[in-house]
Amino acid sequence: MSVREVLRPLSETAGVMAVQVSTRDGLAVEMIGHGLRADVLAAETAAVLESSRSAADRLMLGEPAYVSVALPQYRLLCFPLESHVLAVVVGEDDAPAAVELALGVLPRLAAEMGDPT
Amino acid sequence: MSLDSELRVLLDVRGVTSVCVVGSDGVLIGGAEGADGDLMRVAELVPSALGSSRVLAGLLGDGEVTQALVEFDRAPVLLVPLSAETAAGGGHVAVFTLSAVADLGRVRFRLKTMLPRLIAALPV
Repeated sequence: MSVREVLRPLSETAGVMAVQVSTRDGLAVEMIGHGLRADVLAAETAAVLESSRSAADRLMLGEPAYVSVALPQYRLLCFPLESHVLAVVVGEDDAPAAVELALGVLPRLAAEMGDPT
Repeated sequence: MSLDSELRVLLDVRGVTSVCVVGSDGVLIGGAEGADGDLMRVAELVPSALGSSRVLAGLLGDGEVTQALVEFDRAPVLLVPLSAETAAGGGHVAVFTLSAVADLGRVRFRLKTMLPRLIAALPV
């Protein structure tokens, strides 16, 4: 199964505007969706997660499971894997369901990307 | 009421383990914490977490960040700009550490009702 095929069910979920897999250092690997610059989304998603990981070390709260950035109409969700990041852009009202679906996709995505689970 | 007094009211909300107000540069302005809290370290999270969030907000063209949540293994941390000015890069941010994500709704509701008092208690 390709990465695109793993992402497709999530991308077709109600309210989801875009899904992207990128490397932890900010390079886009695969994206389904329109209207967003893949390179900028990948770079800033990596930055958000890196700052969260640095804070995790200092706060001793464990690893970040995900980061959620809320805007007036949209929510950006960032899920870290060992070497990659899954980003989901979703309408605010549909965000809770998207979180659950994305968490369900992560193990298959990790397997496809060769990341340990 | 002083800022710290207002924040102690928020600490009484079930699920809140610490709360502080931080400048956009990460300087701690005021706070209230439970026994295991470490407000200074929580405050350090603000500049980098919100900085990248603002760039992402610009990418989506959907206005300013209204809040950011980082769910760590042991506890979620919620960051809420206290004004549109804060969301755009100036002003103050309220930072909560919570027991669980399930407490989010309760915290958001109380913060919404207390927001005018919090803003009034901020240093000018």
